[in-house]
Amino acid sequence: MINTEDQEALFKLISEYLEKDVECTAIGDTAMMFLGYKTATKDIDMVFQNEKDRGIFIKAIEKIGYKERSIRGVYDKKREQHKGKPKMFSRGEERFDLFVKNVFGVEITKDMTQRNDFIGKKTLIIKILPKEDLILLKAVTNREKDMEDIEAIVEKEKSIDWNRIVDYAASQRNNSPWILHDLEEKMQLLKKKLFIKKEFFDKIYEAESMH
Amino acid sequence: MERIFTLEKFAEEKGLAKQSALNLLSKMKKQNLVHTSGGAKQKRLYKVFDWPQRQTNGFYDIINRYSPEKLVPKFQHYAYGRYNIENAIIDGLKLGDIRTKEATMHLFRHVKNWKVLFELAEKEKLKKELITLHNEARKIMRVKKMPERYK
Repeated sequence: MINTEDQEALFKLISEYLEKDVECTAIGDTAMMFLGYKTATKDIDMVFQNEKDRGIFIKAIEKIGYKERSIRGVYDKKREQHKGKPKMFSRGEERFDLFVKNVFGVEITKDMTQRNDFIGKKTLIIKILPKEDLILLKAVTNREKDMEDIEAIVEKEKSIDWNRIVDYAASQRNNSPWILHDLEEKMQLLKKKLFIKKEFFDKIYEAESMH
Repeated sequence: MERIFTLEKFAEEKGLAKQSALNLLSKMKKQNLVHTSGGAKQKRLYKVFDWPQRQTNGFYDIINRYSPEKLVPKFQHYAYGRYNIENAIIDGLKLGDIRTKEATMHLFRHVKNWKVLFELAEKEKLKKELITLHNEARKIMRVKKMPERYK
């Protein structure tokens, strides 16, 4: 497990090993830690704009001792075979899940709620998406404990823009056929703990019926 | 969620004496649960958060410290490592909207290292834009002159 301070120190160290400035977007637990929803994680999820940037980042973490490993056992079979699957690198308990452009077909928006610059030999810029996008991506990656994390966000934040989440999911339906189903499933579970208007569920069903 | 208090109001809310409230606020500040503003001539205000929020120290902090034209942050910006006026000028150019550029102009008055500024501009391919912005700034305010060798 890696806590917030150690994560920041790790990124600072990585910036010392980069051959070029790299920009990426943190999602998942890493983003939650930057936003203060969580204090520790086992995996660091990042999305790069292109294969080249991911390659530069991989070279840097390999110098620190991270080695590539298989994604089998972490994601279910349909995600294991998806072309938008990540490359995984681990060192002991910590793990990097590195995606390019999309997360299992779900494209990352350009919106940014936070930017973190790690200035070393080169600069590592890590952007953080709005919380609504994080919720949707958690619904899509569907790993153990993703539901707990979604609950952690909605419990802390009084206002969630469900319209944004549903619209975003609907826009990604062509790239990721199960996205609306996964989102609806998570929202049904959340309904037991907080009020989510029926109109958002209707919007999901309407979007799904159009395909 | 965040709430803003004066020391007196915080002490009243928590049912504490003033010094006890100060001690508690100090502890909470170390946990990033409190941000302060004001002090000295201005009444000190305490922004209290439900969960830890780091204090930003990036582009918008620099702009709002040095520029009379303040900007509302479009995002929280944190910098780990040296992030100076020169870095902020380049980021201002990259953000590109009119308000941001106007605020960025004021940073030219505080440039310490033109060499670093131009190296950053070269790296980001913004040398022309930098010179243009500086020339515009010189028309409307007193700013440091750019060394000839960089023009």
